[in-house]
Amino acid sequence: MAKMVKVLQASPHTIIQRIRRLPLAGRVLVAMGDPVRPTDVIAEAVLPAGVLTLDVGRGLGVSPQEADACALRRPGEKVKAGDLLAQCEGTLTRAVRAPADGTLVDYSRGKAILSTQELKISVQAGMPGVVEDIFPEFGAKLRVEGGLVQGEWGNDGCAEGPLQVLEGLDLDAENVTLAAGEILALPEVTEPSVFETVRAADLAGLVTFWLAPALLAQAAACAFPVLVISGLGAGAADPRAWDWLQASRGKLSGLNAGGGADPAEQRPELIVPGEGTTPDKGASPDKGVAPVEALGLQAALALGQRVRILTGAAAGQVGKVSRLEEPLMFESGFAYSTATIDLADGRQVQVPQRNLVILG
Amino acid sequence: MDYTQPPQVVLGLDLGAVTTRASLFGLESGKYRLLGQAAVPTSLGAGRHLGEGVGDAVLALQESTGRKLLNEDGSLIQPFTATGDGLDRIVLASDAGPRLRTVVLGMSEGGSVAAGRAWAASLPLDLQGAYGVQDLARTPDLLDRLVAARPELILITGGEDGGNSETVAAWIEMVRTLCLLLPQEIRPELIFAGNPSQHEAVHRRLEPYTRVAIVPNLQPLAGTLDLAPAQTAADEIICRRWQASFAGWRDLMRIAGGQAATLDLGLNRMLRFLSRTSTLSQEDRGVAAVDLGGGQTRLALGWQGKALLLAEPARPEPFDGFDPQNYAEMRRWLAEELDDAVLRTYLWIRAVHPAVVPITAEENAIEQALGHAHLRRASRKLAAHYPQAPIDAEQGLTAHFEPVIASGELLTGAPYAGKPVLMLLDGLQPGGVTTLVLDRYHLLPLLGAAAPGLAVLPVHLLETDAFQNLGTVIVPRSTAPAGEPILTVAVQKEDGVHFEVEITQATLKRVVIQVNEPAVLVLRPDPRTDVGFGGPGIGGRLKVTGGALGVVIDARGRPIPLPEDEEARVALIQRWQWMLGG
Repeated sequence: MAKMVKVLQASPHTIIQRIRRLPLAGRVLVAMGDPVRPTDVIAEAVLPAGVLTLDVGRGLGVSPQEADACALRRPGEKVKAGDLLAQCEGTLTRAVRAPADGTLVDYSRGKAILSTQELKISVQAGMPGVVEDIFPEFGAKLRVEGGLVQGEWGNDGCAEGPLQVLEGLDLDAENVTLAAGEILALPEVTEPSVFETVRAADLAGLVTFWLAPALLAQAAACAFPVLVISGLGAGAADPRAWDWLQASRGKLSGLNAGGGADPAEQRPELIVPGEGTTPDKGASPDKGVAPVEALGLQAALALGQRVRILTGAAAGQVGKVSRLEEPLMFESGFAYSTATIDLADGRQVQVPQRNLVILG
Repeated sequence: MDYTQPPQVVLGLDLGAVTTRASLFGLESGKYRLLGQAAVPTSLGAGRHLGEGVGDAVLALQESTGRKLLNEDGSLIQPFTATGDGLDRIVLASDAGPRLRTVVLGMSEGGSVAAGRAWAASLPLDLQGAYGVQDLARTPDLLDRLVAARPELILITGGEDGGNSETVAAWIEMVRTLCLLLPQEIRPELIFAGNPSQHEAVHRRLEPYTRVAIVPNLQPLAGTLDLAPAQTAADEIICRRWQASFAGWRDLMRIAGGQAATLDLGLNRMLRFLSRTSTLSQEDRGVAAVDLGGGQTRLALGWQGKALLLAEPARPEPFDGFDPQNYAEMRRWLAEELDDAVLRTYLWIRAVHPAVVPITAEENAIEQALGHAHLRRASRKLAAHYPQAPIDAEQGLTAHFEPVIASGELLTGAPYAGKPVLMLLDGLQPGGVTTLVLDRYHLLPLLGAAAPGLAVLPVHLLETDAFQNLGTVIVPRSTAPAGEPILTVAVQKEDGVHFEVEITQATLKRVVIQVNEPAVLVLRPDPRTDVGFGGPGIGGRLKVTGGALGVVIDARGRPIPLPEDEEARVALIQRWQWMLGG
């Protein structure tokens, strides 16, 4: 039985559908067919914040039970700063007023709970596309036809901008220019100065196949989104993905560096919509060319699949599955079900099936 | 389901974050035994369903045992038939579901708040915060924090029985306010395990707003601690909530007739049981269990009838750029000289791909070091959660724990017994005399999950060879300098072979006794050396049965000293591995 393993998409033309949902009920801010950009908020929920507890009984100089009888407002009511919340008549009239604008959440046992602020929980589109379906109160399903490359890791956040693709970041070299708002793609990042260059040039984001292990913490702390496609270390860029990135140079692209740590969640990814898909509603990028069907987040290994090897002597290399085999004992002393991988240089390696990623 | 007759065949499903195991238990000659087990990757992830992995595992089990378990339509054959097909009962256990966001509200930081933290660390919960009486003064800020945390579960504890109730009463009001602030569908459930004088207030003030479970106080008296009722209550909540958030769990719960628990609670139950049965007459002895799985690290002590358990995700925290202390600790236990880039790259891959396995000697060395680091960290955390427990952050286990039961792929998948033995010795640093046992099929937590409905199943299974004796370990503690003789062990085998082994300080030695071969060891420590027989210089006779490694004498000292120089350290660790057959 072939193992189910993680899939990372690298496709120049496919249908991309993503669901964006709030963790609690709120408001959906888009409608069916609306075009969206990666940073657009498509749904938001509001929770109370700035909570104040007012001791009404003490303010009135009465017992909690008496204070409850003096209430002038009911829970749920909006109040303005200075509004009377409670008042009791006596020799001297005493009152308690709202110290700030807000909503009265509770009034019991002589205490009033006032919410004076809001905590917004929102969900962004994270991709360019159009709204294909609405989940009332929770979010939407988005769709776009175009190319994408998914990565192993992202530092969160999303951005949109024209794609700039460079072999290296030698700014003194001829024809190397960076424009504010671009998303920069590189084969590898080995120096921390790259982050500073991206920041100084006011780029929208950074995409790299490989990241030097020592730079992981710095990449995580970058204020702009960073997408690592292949992983930590050094190596060659996946040729198919690299060719597609080069062919997409200058095109408007959406970078979503969220997710990646949890296989159940979305993958961090770079999407380049086909011409005319954004903001026009749903136009096809390549008329007459059928998009490739996307694999799921996991798939069963199969012969002919493109894979990347995760560990061992051939770690980081891309090849094709030529055989799926029974358990084999490795140098570590452990035995695992294996796959034989044909590498680009003609060599073959045997790798545990668990140590592969499918490049869809 | 007929519960009046003992089930003939029981299917146990253990759904880990990485591996799904289906175990078939059958009643033969009045005793249950393991008929077979199949392990497949757990079918987790968007668009997937736990049932896919379970289906694959049951198919594989059907093939390996030759027993028909599935109907043509793929459903399970139930009950067990006269022709020997099918099964009578299903037991379900997992730790792979979403961890509930949890908040603990207690009184004193060192008392009930600490007890609440220990409770949270013993279950698959995501502790968002633990607050005590001093935090009540920051009510507005705290309420904002609680709203932002959106806890799914709150534990209120504190106030001994008959003691202070004001703080607990204030927490009840705060939870009520929180419930009013949050929309009904995301209000937290509450477990109340505090001063019983507040039970009525909990019913009156909180039940109109959320689900409430009232259980006995975590600390009914000063110095006492009983987490079990609150653990059981939380486990029920977790299993119920997973039905909505853990794809496939609801269906599996249904076919299991509700007999489900978290693996953490299952292990907890087993340690309590073992502590009560195997060490009843000896107050100063306990039992220990270690689980080094792909997704979880668990360390549990059964001590004086109670279980002290720590469960935490096994991921090596790559996204924070590696915790320096954990990283340095792991580096110290490497049996290969590796540069940082290689090490960090592999650790990162392990974090992003928890199912990845070591294939080179270097990767294997990293996995071993990672196992050591996980065990050391778990020991430190357990010591912090249970200050009264006989475990020290540096010295390891400070009382006698026998047996030490180990499971998890890192230990059970090792090609020879020396690897798990060394990892357990280095990571736990047991003392005195103990037996190391390998739970080869990861049965212990599952048996704990089965125990409420079928109490004899764990009793019978613990006596089978599913639990492999790795060997007896003797740990002499001595004040002698390294290299000096501290102990003589005279070995008397039943076949008449007698020989003596001299043990010197700061060494690790193996005495070969064949598997299942009985032998008597006569221990003669020098006056500076304690072998756990009542004090320094006191020896005695010890009956043993040979395990996979015979007898191991760990005279390396506690804490186990490691040279600062990397080359010397690596050479020493390799020597220890070689000594135990690696």
